[in-house]
Amino acid sequence: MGGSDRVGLARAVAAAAGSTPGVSRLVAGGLIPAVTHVPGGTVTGVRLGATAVSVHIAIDRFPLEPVITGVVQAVGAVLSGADDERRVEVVVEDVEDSALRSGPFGTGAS
Amino acid sequence: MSSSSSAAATERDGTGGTGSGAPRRTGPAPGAPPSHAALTTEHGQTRIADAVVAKIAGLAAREIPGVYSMGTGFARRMGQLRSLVPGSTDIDTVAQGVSVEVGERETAVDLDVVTWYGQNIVEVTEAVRSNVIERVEGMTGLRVVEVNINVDDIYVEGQDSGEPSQSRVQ
Repeated sequence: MGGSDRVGLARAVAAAAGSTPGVSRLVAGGLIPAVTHVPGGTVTGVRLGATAVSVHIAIDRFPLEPVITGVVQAVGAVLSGADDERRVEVVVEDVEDSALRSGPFGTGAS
Repeated sequence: MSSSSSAAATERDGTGGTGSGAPRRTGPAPGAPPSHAALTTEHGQTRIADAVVAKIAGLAAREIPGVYSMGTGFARRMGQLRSLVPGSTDIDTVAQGVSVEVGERETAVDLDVVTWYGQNIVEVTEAVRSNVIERVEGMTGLRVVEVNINVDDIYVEGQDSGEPSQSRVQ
């Protein structure tokens, strides 16, 4: 439970979730921002809870389900690599405008 | 290195049961007063004062962006007054809100912090706790047994202007 564990875990989770295909960015969102405080700054979109690690993302493609599954798998791999038994929680905070234009809704309209 | 170890070996082998012969300089003597040292070597010992641990802990807590200020209400007001005095330095206020107990190899830290409104306080205190432990253990070598955090107040942006000057109804 050292300090570097916590900071390293938050950064690793953010990197894994952010590099998943379909995830455009991590967002804090909400009234109470989902951030992890680290020395000198914050890791946006990652909250290390007591029972779950929640990741808050913005998505840039449809359908959402495979993207969310990808995030759960990527973050789950990081957690199991660190011997962490917490659940993974994915919150889709936002959808990019480009996904709405070029996705199933966009093709139907134009 | 090899000569000394061989000498010790021959001494041990040759003299047999005279373990209580010459007093050894290495290691803490049994009758000596407890040294407040994290590091005791055969060439001397290192003492780390309470103020050092307090300053490190204060700076480590302030590194977390969720910490707005430190100290209880009275201490914060005194700190504001003191900062108005010409010639005073910020260094004096670094340890504000920090009280430490430093033992021979371990230390305990108590912190009074003020956070911002709109944050997860548990998240902030966890971040403060782990960073203080990491910095103090990394810089002093003392083992941090506990970090107790009192969240004394919460800072609401715009609070400095005192009482709300605008009435709620137009």
